Amino acid sequence: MSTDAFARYLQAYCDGELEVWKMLEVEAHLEACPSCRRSVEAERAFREHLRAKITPEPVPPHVEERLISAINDLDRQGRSSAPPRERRRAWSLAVAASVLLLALGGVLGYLMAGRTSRFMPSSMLVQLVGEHVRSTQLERPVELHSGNTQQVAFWLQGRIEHPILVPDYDPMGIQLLGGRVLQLGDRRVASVVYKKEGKMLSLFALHAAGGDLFLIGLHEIRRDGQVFLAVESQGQQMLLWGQGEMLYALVSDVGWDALFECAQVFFDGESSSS
Amino acid sequence: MGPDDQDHKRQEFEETALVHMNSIYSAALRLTRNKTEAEDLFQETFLRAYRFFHQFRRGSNCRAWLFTILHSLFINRVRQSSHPLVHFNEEEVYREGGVGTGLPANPEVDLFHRLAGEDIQTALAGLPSKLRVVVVLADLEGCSYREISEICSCPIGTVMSRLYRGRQALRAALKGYAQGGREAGKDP
Repeated sequence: MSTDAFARYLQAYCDGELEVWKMLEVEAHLEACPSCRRSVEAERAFREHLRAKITPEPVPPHVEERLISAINDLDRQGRSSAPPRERRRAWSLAVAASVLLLALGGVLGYLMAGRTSRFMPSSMLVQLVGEHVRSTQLERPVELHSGNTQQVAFWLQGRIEHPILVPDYDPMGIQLLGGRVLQLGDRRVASVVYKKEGKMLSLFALHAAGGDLFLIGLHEIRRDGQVFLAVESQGQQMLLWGQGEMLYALVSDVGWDALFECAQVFFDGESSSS
Repeated sequence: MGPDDQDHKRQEFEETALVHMNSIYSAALRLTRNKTEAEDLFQETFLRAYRFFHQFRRGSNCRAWLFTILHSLFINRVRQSSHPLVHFNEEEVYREGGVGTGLPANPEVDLFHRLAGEDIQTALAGLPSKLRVVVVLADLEGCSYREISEICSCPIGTVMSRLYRGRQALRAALKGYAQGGREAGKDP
């Protein structure tokens, strides 16, 4: 290994990030090269110096107290939320009344500038609504045509590599048409398509582990510890929620009551399947 | 969620997440350069974490998850502020030799010993946000490349190039301080 080649590995070597075989190669070079050894010493000394001069600061008591108090408030809100069955209709109507009616650009603008929804990429919201609208215009809106929820779930999870839940809305008069897979940026999104009296519903599911996507909404609705986000755009209503590592978005123009009913069935299905 | 579930969630959160308060606070302070902003960022990070604790994969690295939230909030704040992020071309970095083509000189170590912690804080604060984040995570919080890559949602190669550039920029600024000059910060 030459000194030039070593320079490329210096950082990773000092960070302890080289693979063993490469580390051995670097160390063999270091044994024979005093100049590179000095570089390693300088690099390490620099880092130690940084750590020594910038000492960690503990959380000030007033900051910790403020946080604990805010968490207590969240707990109280969580405890005071009523059981869903009794309150569902009032809850959904309240949301429907208060949900922001935003044009597509408005959603984008609000999300970009607003205090909430910071981590839900606005472009993704826009794309999901767009994909739903597009599917309503297609003759064949699904890749897999099937009315069997298990078959659709199996087909989709094989393609997005994450298990997803495909609820059965048949008792509500909502017919399962099938599924398809979309590519949004670097994400694969599963789309389950339903139909109700000439209107379409799309249930999108995407993997959102690692904290890279959050449901921080324009309107956060808490129910049973579950947080929903409600957005209306392009005449379509969109209800989003997280479940495990997955993010679900239900889009349709069937009305808020029906969407919340669907969300309820989703969670009923989840509890019965777990 | 019933009261028992709520209690369980709270207890688990305290044991898993709140134990990292000092680490998150320190990182927030290094990133924002401002106590009030750091306190807000800290508070917002933990409240987000608590509300979305059900999304946290049990058994995975909670500290890295908290850093992910902190990073997202921080970057979002920077984007919303009047100071845009400094963009630099990652590919160019690789074309130019990627990471570590310049070897540090030993005499600079002696120079740095003359510096106070405050000088280093100021130099760190002067780094472009994206570089500052990786330097804080790697050099002050001891995160691995993989952790930083997940926290910042970027490839490991990008982490390495940002880290290299961040350290080089920090070194250059500190050298200026040690030699008696003060370079103006370049970015929020």
